[in-house]
Amino acid sequence: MEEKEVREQVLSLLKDLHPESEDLETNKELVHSGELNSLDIVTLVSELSDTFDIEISPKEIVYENFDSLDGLVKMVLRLSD
Amino acid sequence: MESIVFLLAKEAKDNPQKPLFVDEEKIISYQESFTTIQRVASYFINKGIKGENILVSVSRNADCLLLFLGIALSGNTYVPFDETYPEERKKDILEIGKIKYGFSPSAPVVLKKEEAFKAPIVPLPEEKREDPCYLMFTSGSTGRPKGVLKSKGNVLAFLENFSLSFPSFPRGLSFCNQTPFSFDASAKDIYLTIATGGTLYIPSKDRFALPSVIAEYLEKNKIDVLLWVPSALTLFSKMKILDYYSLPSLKYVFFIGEPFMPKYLNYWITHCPKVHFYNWYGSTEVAGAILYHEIKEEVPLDSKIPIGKPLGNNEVFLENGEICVSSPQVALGYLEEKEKNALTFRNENGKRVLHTGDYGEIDRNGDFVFASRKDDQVKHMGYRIELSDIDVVLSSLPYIETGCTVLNRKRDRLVYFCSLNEKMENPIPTILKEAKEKLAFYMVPNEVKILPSLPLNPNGKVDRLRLSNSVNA
Repeated sequence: MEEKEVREQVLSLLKDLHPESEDLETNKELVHSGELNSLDIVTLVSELSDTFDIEISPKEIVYENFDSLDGLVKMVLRLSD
Repeated sequence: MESIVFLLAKEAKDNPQKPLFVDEEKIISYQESFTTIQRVASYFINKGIKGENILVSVSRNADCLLLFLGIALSGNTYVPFDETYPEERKKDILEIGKIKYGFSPSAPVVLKKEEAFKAPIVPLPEEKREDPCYLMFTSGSTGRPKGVLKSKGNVLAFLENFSLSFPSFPRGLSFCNQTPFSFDASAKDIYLTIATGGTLYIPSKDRFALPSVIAEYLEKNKIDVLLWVPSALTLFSKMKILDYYSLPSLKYVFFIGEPFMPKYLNYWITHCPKVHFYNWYGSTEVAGAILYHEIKEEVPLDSKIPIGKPLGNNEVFLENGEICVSSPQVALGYLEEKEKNALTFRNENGKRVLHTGDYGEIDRNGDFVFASRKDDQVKHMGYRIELSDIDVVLSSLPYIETGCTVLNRKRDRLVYFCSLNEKMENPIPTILKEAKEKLAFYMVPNEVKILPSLPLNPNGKVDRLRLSNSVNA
């Protein structure tokens, strides 16, 4: 899958969760800042798994992968291989 | 039991170096805690401040708890306060609590914790059970928060009833706090830890957003006891965390505050066969829990987990289907709410009886089972909310004609239905942005649905039940 496409889709999922947030693309502390809470993470993991047909094990659910859009995209690309 | 501080002091004498609180930055022993708490209390004695409600800006660290305990020891009442709450709510709390002083930038007179922690120790007043201990604010149905005042006797009664029902609960266990200190559920963590000579671990909030992060914390710190809300436990089940982390030290899981779905509880039971699981029932209107039920094996998927039998000497009964309790754990009352007090804390047959507002039944094993709520109070992510609280606040927005919040129980999502009285471009993000500013974090709707008009019931009021049924179909 093309990185650009993945990026657009992941960003769209984030926007679904928080339509009111304006910095989802640039926020490098999505979890640390509290923007994404535990309920969001559960929903996001489920949506990412369905959208990209990947399996996200708990070991992947770490700050490095979930604190930024970049982190999420990198993780999706890696798990799609 | 004489007093909470007496229990702490005794452990400080027997095991001075034993850790009491462990936060992300430091470890505080029983001895150090006892000294610091006396200093905080002395600070107030020296200033001549007595009988006041003292604000404490909550933070996930030992300092916050040392302030709580020191304030209570000094003959004042601590008021846990969340600085991130919206301005209106903070103003209401200051007004209802008649707050003059606080370890908080929001207090009229700002006190410095560094000074309190250094104050020279002076003789401290004798503690009496009927002395107020803390004032906890909770969501109110009118948009204004309710302040529940509890006494030292309320807390001690919980600890006494706990030891009656759990006579062989081990001393010296490690507890991991999950519930925020601005919510009443956390008081059990604090006081049970002290009463049993245990250690309370306080991980930072963001660890809980990533289940593997908190699971690692639990294993690394060899946590023995969890006193968590089902929402937090459910996360582990949904993400299959226990397939990767076995939590070998875990001995007790107490859950309280909201129903726990059998399939998620069963996941824990099958993965942690050595752990004792207990369902607890209580409310902000009592100190601690008043009913408890042990779950020894997997529960049938379509069953309701009972809330069980009375803890210790609690007298619990049904009156017109409503769960009522007569007990020294029942709070002193609401501040400033004469009518609510009369309805909730009633005097019946010479006893003080709490009417919980929860409807229940007693099953054939003699266990209480939760049936439904009398009013529009719900639990979301483990937090108690009055749905009309959200409605009142959001209806202040000029473009909202009518609004009504409901809870999608299956997905634990707050859905705000509303009709607008003007045409708007992009109303949903706008409403959500305002909601984030005007409402406490746990009350912000997860979804907004705009309708041309909201359904009315025969009384001409918005039909919340119908809207609720539409999302819970």
